[in-house]
Amino acid sequence: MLKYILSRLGQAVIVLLLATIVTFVLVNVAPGDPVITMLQKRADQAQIDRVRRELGLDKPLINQYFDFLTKAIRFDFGNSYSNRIPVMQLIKQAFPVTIKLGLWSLLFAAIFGITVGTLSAVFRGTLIDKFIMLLAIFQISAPAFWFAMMLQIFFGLHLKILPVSGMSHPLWMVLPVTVLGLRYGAMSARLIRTSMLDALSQDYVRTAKAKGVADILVVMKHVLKNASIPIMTMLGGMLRSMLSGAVVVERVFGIQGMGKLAIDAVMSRDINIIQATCLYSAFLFVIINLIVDLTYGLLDPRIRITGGAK
Amino acid sequence: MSIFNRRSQGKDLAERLGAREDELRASTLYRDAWIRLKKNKLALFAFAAIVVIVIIAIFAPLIAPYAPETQDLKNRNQGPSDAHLLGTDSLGRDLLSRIIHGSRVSLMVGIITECIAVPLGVLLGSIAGYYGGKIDAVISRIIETLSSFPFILFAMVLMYVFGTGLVAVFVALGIIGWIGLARLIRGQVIQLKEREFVEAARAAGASDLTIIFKHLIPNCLSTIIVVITLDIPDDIVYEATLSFIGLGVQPPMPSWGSMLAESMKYMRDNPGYAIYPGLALMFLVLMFNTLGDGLRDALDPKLKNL
Amino acid sequence: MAQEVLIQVKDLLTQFRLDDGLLTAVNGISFEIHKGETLGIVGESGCGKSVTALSLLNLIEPPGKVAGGEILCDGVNVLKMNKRELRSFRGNQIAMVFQEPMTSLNPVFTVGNQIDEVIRIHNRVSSHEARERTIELLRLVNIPLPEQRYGEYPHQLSGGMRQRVMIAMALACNPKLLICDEPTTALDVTVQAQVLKLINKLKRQMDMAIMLITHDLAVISSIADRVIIMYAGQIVEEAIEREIFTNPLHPYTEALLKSIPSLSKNTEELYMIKGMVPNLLQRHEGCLFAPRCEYAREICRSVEPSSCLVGNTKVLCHKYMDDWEVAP
Repeated sequence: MLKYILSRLGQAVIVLLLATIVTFVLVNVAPGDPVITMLQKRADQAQIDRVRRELGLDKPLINQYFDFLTKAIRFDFGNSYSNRIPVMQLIKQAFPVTIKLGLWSLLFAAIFGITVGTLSAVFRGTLIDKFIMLLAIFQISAPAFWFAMMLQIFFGLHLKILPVSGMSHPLWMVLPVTVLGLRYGAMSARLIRTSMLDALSQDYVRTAKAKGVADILVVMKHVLKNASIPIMTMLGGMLRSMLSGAVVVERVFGIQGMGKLAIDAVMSRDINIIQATCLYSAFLFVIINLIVDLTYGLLDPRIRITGGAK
Repeated sequence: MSIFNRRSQGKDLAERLGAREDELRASTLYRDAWIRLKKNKLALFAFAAIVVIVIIAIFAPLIAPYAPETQDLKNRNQGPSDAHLLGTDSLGRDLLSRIIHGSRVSLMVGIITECIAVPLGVLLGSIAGYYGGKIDAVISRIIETLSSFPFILFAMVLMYVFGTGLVAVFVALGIIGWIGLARLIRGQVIQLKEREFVEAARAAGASDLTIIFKHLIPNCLSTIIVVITLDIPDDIVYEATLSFIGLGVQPPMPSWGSMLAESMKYMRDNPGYAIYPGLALMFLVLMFNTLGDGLRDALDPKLKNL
Repeated sequence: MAQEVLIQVKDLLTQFRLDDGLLTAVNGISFEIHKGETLGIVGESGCGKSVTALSLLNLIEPPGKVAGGEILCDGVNVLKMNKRELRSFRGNQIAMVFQEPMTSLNPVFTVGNQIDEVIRIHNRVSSHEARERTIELLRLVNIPLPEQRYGEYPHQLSGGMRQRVMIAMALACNPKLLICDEPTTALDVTVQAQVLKLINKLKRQMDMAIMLITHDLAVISSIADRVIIMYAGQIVEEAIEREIFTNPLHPYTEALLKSIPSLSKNTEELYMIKGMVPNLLQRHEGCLFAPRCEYAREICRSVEPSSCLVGNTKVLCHKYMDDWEVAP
């Protein structure tokens, strides 16, 4: 198990290092001079050169990268180019909002997905199953931002019972969480259904029944623990794509989270914020992946004992 | 007969036998798949619907009642009427015509993106799976790194690099699109390369490239077909999302995503503006997803976790 | 030998409703299992022997269904039991060992946990007592270091060891009948003999009946008392073990015996039964074996044979019916 944990940690560090390179390269190959963008074309050449020196942009790229890396390790991403506020301060404001939205949506999606997916698997082939799966594929096919707009029109403008956008109303989270929760709940319901069906058709289920184990116990003990391995992987993936979905949903509902920060940064070509949001989310993803892999090890003795040779 | 000749003859024979085995397996696999697919009425309906949408997109100028850019400032944000079946937008342009023309962008994104993503994904995935070792480690770490960014954020940064517009969308989504396919193909190739027909080809002296292109990739074909069908709707939604944010297709070119972005401002007065382009988008995506599900069940039931 | 009947199967009919039609896997068979005997059931794959075994436990899952007949265990009809009765019946009165020990054991629980489970379902015992009993069972099936094996997972054991665990699990509640469905097919040849010997030893030690299902006549010859030969969902011959080998009556049994590769006879070619197993989705007329039978006459292809008794052997073949000599 220790060997497994160490090899996963090593991989995580490599991936994070590569992520800094990718981010740095992408931002630097982009056309346009960030200093000019920052000074908004009013400055003369001397001023531009001075700012460039201050920011270390006159050094060779490789030195710039190591500057960037050493600062990034200390979570220092410099100041925003457009309003000179430290980037970390902006992230500290935006991040909790996104995480709160993400976690509530995850809770919604997990409860919804596991209940509905298990129901569908147990009643496979019946009308209940077909109905659930039909709703799920509709939900998955509706783009998140459009579904969000439809909820705004219906609950905000038509029924006038929920706020359309902003974060001032006490119920501001209801619609965003519904959008994300339903979408990822539907996705997970489909996956949980197939993992459950897969586990249900295994020989050990027949063995358990032949031993006289009650049907409900067969599902809750033998099937769910086996199915939980793919479900766990899926939950990790879901949390990741949910953060992706949050970007657009924040935009629709006017929520001041990481998504809005990132969109504004790309729009105003504020490269320090772009780098920071990219690395911050990559960092988060790697952590989630690590947690998933470790849980995987806990759930599956084959990985725990043989050290993860899949 | 020289030893050299004998060897090449043996190779030829083994390769012919290998190829014949592949062909036999393939022909029954695809026949069985077709029989299964024919029973799936929903998937057949989806396929027919996609064909109809493609025809509409090709003949959009003939089918659409108005030119998509014709403005009629006197009739802005009108509801449905006889003249404008779905009403008009904020510049008095006919919504139905813009939706019909918008299908071109969505379909083009789906097709061209996959044309970039599939060769990249298949090649890198099969190389990683076949060679293993260091090559695999490098490609796998790249895959992991790229998928550690939220896709939409990554796409936004790529748009920042390549600039906005349709071509930039193709490139950005193509660069993102190969990742998932490469991961799947890598896994399949790792399993396939242990199989007898690969051993046989190798024993007969076939080169690595021959094995990859003639034996491994053709055996992954059903996976590739399924993945393409299920990735196209994702590409379509990504494009709509990017255009919705304002980073994708730029006005006045009609794209469902940018129409929806524009409609946000008029949601109270003209809800139809927000509803209809989204319905079109959802319908197209739904049809691809349904067809993809059907193809997956028919071709490759192993992929049910996709 | 005591001829007291333990299980009585009457006209068992098990069918599967598939996409392409109704498949009759077991077609109205009747047989008995006596207390303490070993009954061998032999047939090719797909002849319905495993389905028969699962039917005995009422374990047929949709799209399959036991469509008719009775299965009496000590006079109680298994097919009429409610869920609670079935639960206390399965694993307790009749236990089963499956073909693939790897997939039949749950990979995410320790073997000890899986044996404990069956003990605790059927007996009111503490976890400590269950553990003691489990270790005793592991010792009984000749697993070395049972205390240590108790906490291990199936993937840590060898194939033969896993099958021993399956057997220990089946024996946990002293069943009256142990069904072994191809218990040695997935094992190495050397391990096969050990497992068979173990089953034979345990049978005598625990005084239970055994129903041994196999496609391999050689397996039967070493331990069965009586043998049933199945073909296409029907019992074609039922006899005591010695009779089957010395005096096979049904042409199919004869062919099966001929196709055992023999070391003593220096035959050039392996004997193969020509033709294919009939498609059980289609309706057939006459004897199901007729298309492959070298004795088949007109009557075999048109009239269904009925079971007749020749000596102590029951056989389903026109050859032994009264009108064979004059039949077309």
